Amino acid sequence: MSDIEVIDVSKRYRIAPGGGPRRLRRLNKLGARKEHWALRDVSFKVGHRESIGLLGRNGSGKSTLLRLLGGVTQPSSGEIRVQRTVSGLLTLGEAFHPLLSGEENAITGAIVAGLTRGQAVRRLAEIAEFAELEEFMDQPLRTYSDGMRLRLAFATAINIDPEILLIDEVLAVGDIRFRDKCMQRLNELRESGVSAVVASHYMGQLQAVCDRALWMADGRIRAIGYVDEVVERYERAMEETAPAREPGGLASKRFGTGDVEIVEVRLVDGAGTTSTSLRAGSAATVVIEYVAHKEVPEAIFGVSVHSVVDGIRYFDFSTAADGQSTGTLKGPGRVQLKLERVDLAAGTYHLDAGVYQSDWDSTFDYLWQAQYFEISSDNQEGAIQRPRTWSMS
Amino acid sequence: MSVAQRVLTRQRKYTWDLTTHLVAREFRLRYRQATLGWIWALASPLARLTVLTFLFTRVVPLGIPNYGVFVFTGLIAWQWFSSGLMSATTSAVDRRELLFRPGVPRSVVPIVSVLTDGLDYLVAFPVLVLFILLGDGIPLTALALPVILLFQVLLTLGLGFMLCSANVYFRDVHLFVNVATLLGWYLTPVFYQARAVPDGFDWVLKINPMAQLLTAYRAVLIDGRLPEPRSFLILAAACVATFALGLSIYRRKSPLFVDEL
Repeated sequence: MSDIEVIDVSKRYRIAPGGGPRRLRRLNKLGARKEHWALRDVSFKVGHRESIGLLGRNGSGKSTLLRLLGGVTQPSSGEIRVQRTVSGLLTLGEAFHPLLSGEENAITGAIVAGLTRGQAVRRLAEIAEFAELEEFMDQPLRTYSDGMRLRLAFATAINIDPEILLIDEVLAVGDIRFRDKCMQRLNELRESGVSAVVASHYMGQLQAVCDRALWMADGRIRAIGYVDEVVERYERAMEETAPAREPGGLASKRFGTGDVEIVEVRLVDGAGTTSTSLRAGSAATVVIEYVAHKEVPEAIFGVSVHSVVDGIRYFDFSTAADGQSTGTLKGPGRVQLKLERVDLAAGTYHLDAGVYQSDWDSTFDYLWQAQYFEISSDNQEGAIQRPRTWSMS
Repeated sequence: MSVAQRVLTRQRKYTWDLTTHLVAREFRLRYRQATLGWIWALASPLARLTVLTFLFTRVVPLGIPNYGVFVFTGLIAWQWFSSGLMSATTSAVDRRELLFRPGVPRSVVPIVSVLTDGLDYLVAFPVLVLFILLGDGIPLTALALPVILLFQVLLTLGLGFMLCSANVYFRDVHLFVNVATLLGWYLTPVFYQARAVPDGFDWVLKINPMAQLLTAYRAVLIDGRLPEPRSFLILAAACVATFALGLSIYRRKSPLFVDEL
């Protein structure tokens, strides 16, 4: 038996000419509202205790599909049959209020997520423990750092005994250790019989928590199948199109307080010219141009390099880990990270860049896929290239 | 108990918990940072009471006996109605995050608004009781008050459901409600007597359910008599019908609200 059956579902949005809701004086131009088909003829099933990953570019229909599965909106045509109770992590902590304590907010979060009051109160200790905020629960939320808020929101949302769980990108936030903890919790839930539909830009995450995957493109299903196969096809396609489609532009995905803003991330090769293609083993410098909108006494800059094909993070460097002080940031500035050798195999990679508060608690700005680049090499095999010599005797 | 029954009971319990929790939270937040807290809920009705009593017993005497009790009875009921209507109208926009939650019953959104404003009424209510006690004492008919309040809630919710649905699509609606409640304050006999309205204009009060409700409140709380049965039955039917109509419009429209928010 399937937990969810999606049958020929399409979803049309009407977009007002100026965006936003209609104005009375535009009433006569109602017909002028543009149509946008966010989903077209989508059909699939989510089996009992099955977990399905959604992948695809921004705007491909993943969020719309999750909203429909959660029943927060209805399809324009087609039908969705849901057999068990759906819980969703479509938004994180939006019901939270800064003046209320962590405890009060956690109770609200749990109730809004589907628990009765009694259940929510009984879960409080568990939520606090998962969020690692036991001693802060009676403090008002406004005193929390971004990281703490996020942990509380996630802990609240995931400790609710769901039957079918919908997750929209929310696994992509938070520090890496906590993210891993969330993934682990998700897998525990799967073992206990929970079905899940998970949208993520992180292929590694999807492979870790999903049985199957569904690749969305322009509102249609491009491919569906075992997660590894779909991810492989998706990444092959991305590899072919990614550098061309986003030529050095800043990423569409970013988050952070914006107190320090990353305005440009570029890659400079050994000869000192900006480039998006490097030879394996050559030198490269990552240049980050930023603007500090307020004075920040000390910050952390981080750069990571990921393979587009498998999502593996090959490098993850930070000024903090390398013991580099940033001094006081104020106004515009530049950070450079010189890599003596980029010993990566041939392929397509992307750089993520971030700037954080000195204790990692708050993210000023974080850019996913800030810059794509390619490594070329005569040798196509293996993940790492190292300087080498053969000898025969 | 069958599985279906158990699910239904769970659902009812959940909706109740969700509603009461959100109402309590909203009310606490309203006066959270004030040192005097919810005492402020009394400030606005008492200030109005003072000004109105001064105006209409000293400046322009209306000759209404026990004017303080008379006006306060109407004042707090009207205030609940108008503020409840306003907050219900903007509730879907104000609490959009709730509508994005799977499993949260959508009708909870305006209901929470109306009930939260009801707590302001509840805070002011003991003051009203005190005034009545200091005056002629509380008549036995006051026991009928909850029934009249219930019909007022149904009326407010019914209109609130409709206006909330409309406001999602036309954000002009809440501005209209603002003007309408301002006019309503004068077109409803809050600070004057219904019978002072000249013949030929009394239809304005006849079609105004709040005018009828205020008459009923004053009958049971001050005059010590029950409302006239025939007109009260019509009023009750109108309130129930408004509620039913509002709820059915809201039920039909709300599933697509998030597309517009």
